Formats: sequence, structure tokens, C-alpha cells
Amino acid sequence: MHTLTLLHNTKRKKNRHTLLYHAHTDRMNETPPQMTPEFAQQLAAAQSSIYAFIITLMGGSDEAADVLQETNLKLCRAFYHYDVKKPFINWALTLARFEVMAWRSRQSRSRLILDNDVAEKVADAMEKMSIESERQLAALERCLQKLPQHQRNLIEERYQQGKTVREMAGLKGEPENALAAMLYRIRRILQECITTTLAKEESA
Amino acid sequence: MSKDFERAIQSALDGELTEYNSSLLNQTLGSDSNALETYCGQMHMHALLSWRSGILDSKSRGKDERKGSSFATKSHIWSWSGWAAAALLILGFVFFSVMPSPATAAAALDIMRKAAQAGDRTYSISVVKGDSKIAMKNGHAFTYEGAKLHLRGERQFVLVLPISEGGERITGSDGIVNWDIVGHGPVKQTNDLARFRSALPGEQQDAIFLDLTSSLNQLSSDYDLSLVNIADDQAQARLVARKKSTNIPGPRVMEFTYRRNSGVIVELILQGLPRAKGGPEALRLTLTSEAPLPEKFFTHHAHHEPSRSIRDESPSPQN
Repeated sequence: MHTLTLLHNTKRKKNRHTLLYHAHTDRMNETPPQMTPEFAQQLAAAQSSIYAFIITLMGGSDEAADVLQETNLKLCRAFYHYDVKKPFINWALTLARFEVMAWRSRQSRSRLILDNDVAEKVADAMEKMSIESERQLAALERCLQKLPQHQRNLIEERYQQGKTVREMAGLKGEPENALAAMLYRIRRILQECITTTLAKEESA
Repeated sequence: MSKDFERAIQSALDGELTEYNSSLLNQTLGSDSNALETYCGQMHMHALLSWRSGILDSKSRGKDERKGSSFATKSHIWSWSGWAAAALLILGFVFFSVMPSPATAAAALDIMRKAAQAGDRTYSISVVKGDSKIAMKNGHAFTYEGAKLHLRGERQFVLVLPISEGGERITGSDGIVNWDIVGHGPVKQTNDLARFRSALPGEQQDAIFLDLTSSLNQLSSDYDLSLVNIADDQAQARLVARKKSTNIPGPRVMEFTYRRNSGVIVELILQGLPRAKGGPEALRLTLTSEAPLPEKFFTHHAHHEPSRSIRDESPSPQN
């Protein structure tokens, strides 16, 4: 907690976050009342969105899953502070942001992908983005079907088989840069497709 | 956006960020709002693809096991898995209700999350009590005895029911189209995902297993839930749900036996099934396989010859 305070003590906005965090954690030490099934349901439904938020702030670090688990613990502890009149996801992402900052404070600087000020900017940008991962994941399924086979194969190798671009390039005998560019392009195509699909659904 | 910036993002995603790429990434993100937007978009899409591929589950299984699995056969991690998902939502509720400590609640959520990432599963169905057959409109009858239920994701299932007079009734959904094939008859399909589900055990009870949004609320309000330890098996536990009133639709008792570490339901017993259409009073579903199924397995095309006629009964044209 102390390191978290140090991390934030240079900017007023960050100080406000820190104070809020302390307030949360102080109250977390009280005996929590029983959790409601509605809360559990909302938390379960928000998992992919929280994960997306966390991994973006962490620059793609594979420790994002661990931070998600820590965030879940904090959300469970703090559930009775949640105002049901407000969007659950906003509240969850606020606590997720604190958890990422806490994780950052535990890392040596060399292990951090994003600098502090950049991480703040990314967090602000992500909070403005539409993160409705459940709907987006459903749209993703349709969008993947629309990809040419060779592009789907690349997605399979990268995400289902867990290969890095370097490994893929080695196996295919292709330049790494070309494969990286192709994956970049496919993600952009999928992003646009999801946006279009969801917009069509909403207007239908 | 420069190629170097694209490469830097990919390097970060691969965990192979060089000092040069790290510096480039931070400088660009700190000074260019368009780059920031691009980065967030790329990362968000990476997160969705990773989540979909079961990254959290595979993390616990180990990377070696992930390699060699195919795109066609991995489960869709984002989506809940029918029976198991409903059961795990129930489990979450039970943990929250009975053992409300934060750590336990978080552990329960972790189990729920793992269940959401579980792979394909196949259950065999056997009739514990009552008539195994249910008559169809064509005068034949299908039976639950020896039936198989395959599950993937929130909406995908294939239920194979033997027909007493020979052949099979196969009904299913790939999450986009629901379909039904009786014997050598035509394939009936629709984009109405509420259709062709009546043969699913439990489906007559307000879609308790497939409509997860309502299932948790229904179970928490209509059933008394209890956790039972299995004396000779520490690896598994059992959740028993007993209906509070006979005025409530649904099975009288449901027993979920699940693996503690993964939340996977290994056995489900439904007792006191409604019998307005005849059929069994009690069923047992036993997990028989977790082997990945082919990618197209949940489409009707995987279950008939290409020349079979297809009757589209969608209420409106599909997009």
C-alpha cells in the first residue's frame, strides 16, 4: 500500500485514486455481509472485459491472469460498496486499475512494459472505450468465420496453439516482420468487423 | 502507423520486447493519440482472442499441453457451457451464501471462470426411473436411454437420441442456427435459438440449463441448495438442489457432482422431471469424454450427407 501511495503522490488525480483505494481497503477489513447472486452473476459476466482492460494496461504481460484473480478478490471483498444504480463494469474497472497499479509497484522497472505516465494514458483511453466483451466475443465468432482460411490459420497458430511470431516465422520460413504485420492487420480487420456487426445489431 | 510501431506491439504481445521497441512504444503512445487508440484496439482484440482460446485455463495446464491442440477443437472460453455453466453459477451462489468469506468467494469465482474455459464435453444419458421413450409426431418414439449430449460454449450443443424403430434424432445448435434431424428426414433449421430444444433434458423447465441469466435467479429462489462432501473422494464434491415447492416448474431434485479443482460437472442427476409429454422421471448424465470435437461438429452439416434437403424455418431472413 505504501509503495502504491508513492507511485501516485506526484499528481492530484493519482492522489485521489490512492485515497479512494485506502478507503476501499480500510472498509474491506470489516466483516463483509453475504454476497448476492446478482453480484456474482455480474462479476462472472464481466470477467472477459476486466481481463481485456488489465492486459492492455499491462502491455500484454502474461501476468494479467494473476492480476485478474487479485482484482476478483478485491471486488468480492468490496462488493457491498458497489452502487447498483451505476454500471457495474465502470466500478469493476476502477478497482482493476488500482490492482494493475499495485502490481506495477511490485515490479522492477525493467519488467514494466509501459512507463507510468503512458500506463495512465492507456487507462484513461480504455475507460472511454466500449468494453462489452461478452457481446464483442459473440460478434468475434461471426467475424472469424468471415476471414480467409489462411488468416484463420494464423489466428489458430498464434492464439490456439500459443506460438509466438518468431516460432511461426521459423516454421514457415517467412520473415517475422511480415507475419507480425499480418497479425496486426487481422486484429484490425476483426476489430472493424466487430464494431460493424454490433452497430448493425443495435440498429436492427 | 509505422511498421516499427506495429512490430513493437507484436513484440510486447509475444513477450519479446527489446529495449528499442519498448522505448519506441512508450514514446509513440505518449505523444500520439491515434497511436494510443490503435494500441488499445490491438490489445483489446488480443485479449478477446486470448480469452476465447482459453488462455487462463491453458495457463494452468501448461503451455506444452496447449501446443498441438487445434483451432477446430478448442472450446470458446468466453462463453458459458450450458449445463456446467449453470451448475457453476449455482456453485458460485452456494459458496457466496454458505461460505461468504472473501477468499472463498474469490475461489468460487475462479472455479466459475475455469468452467467458462472448459473444453468440449460429452455426456452419456441413462434413464434412472420412468419411461425412457417420448413419442414424436410421426408415430415413432425417441429414447433417452443411450442418448449422448455434446456441449461447447453457451449455445452450442448436439443431442443424439436413438429412435426406437431405428435411426437417430439429432438436434443441436452451433449458436447461430438451431437444427433438428429425424432419421433420414430433412434437416429443419432456424435462426430462432429457442426452437428445437424441447428434447433437451431440463429444457421443459424454463430452459434452466441453457438460459443462464434466468437459471441462477430461478435456482436461488426456487431451490434449497446444499453442498455434500463425498467421503471417499476429496477431489469431488456434490451440490444438491431441492425444489422448495411443487408449484414451481422444474425437476424436483438436481444433484451435481463436480471436480473441486476445475468445476467440471462429472455427473448430473435430474429427479422428478415433468412428464406432461411422457418420458423419464429421472435421468443421469455422466461425463464420458472431454476430447475436443471437430470444429464444425455443432453444425448440422457434420451429421448428414451433403445431398440432404434443408428446410429453413427461420422466422425472418438471416443476416
